[in-house]
Amino acid sequence: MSDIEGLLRQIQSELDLDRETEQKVLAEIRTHLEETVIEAMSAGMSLEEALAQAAACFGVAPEVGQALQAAHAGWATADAVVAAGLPVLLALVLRWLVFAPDGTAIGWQQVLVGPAFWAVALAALLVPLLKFERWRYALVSWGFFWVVTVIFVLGPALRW
Amino acid sequence: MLSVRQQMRKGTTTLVVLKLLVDRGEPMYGYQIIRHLEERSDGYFQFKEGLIYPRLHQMEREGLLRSEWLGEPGTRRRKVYAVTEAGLRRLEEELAQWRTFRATLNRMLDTAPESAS
Repeated sequence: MSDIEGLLRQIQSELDLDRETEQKVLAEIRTHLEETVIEAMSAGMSLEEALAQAAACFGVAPEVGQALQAAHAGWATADAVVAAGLPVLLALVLRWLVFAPDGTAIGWQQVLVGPAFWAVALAALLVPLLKFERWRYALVSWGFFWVVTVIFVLGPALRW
Repeated sequence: MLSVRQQMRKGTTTLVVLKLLVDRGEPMYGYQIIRHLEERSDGYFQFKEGLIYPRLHQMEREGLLRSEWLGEPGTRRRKVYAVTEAGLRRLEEELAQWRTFRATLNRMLDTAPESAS
């Protein structure tokens, strides 16, 4: 179905998304076009006629590509901000729970048996399970910022 | 310049998609949604089919719809959409606004022209 591939290429040329999102968007459009062609052929059209009708009903491919790009713009940024910000926030809360302002951790053993510490720790572990649109990217960001945060926020306080 | 029909369609796509999904009571994929909307409107609303997908994705982004992929890898997979709680709330709001708009417009259009004095 070469015309379908042509339409998909025109749409793809308008997209500037991450690979995973782009593939999902194109897969959805491909399914739509294939179903349109199959329905037209089952109504008695030849393959060429069905492809032509599918293309005509679909609309102007670059216009659809631009609209798809606009619909997806900004998702990645929001994911990245959340993925990067949550570990920092949670690490600061953990630091506040465990360490005194001067960086000492006298009595930290008592903190470990309190529910607040474990609630925050559990929330930190569950962050990757949140549904991000670009979850792989978010997960990598989450891991990276956890390491950076531990080094720069918790690290200096580990003098005890 | 958009015709009245095009303007009406553009402004009501979110409403009619939400209503369709709620009425059907089951997740639907884009192709199904388009066909049912055309059927419901007796062909009056003929969409440029490709443009339904940006709208569905936008609605998903706004939290009005949720989606999932059905089908095994290697087969034809379909992305189906269902209405969220936020989508149900939006539907109620938009239906109320639409009823008010329709009633007002009907009153305005049905009013007999004032006789020239």
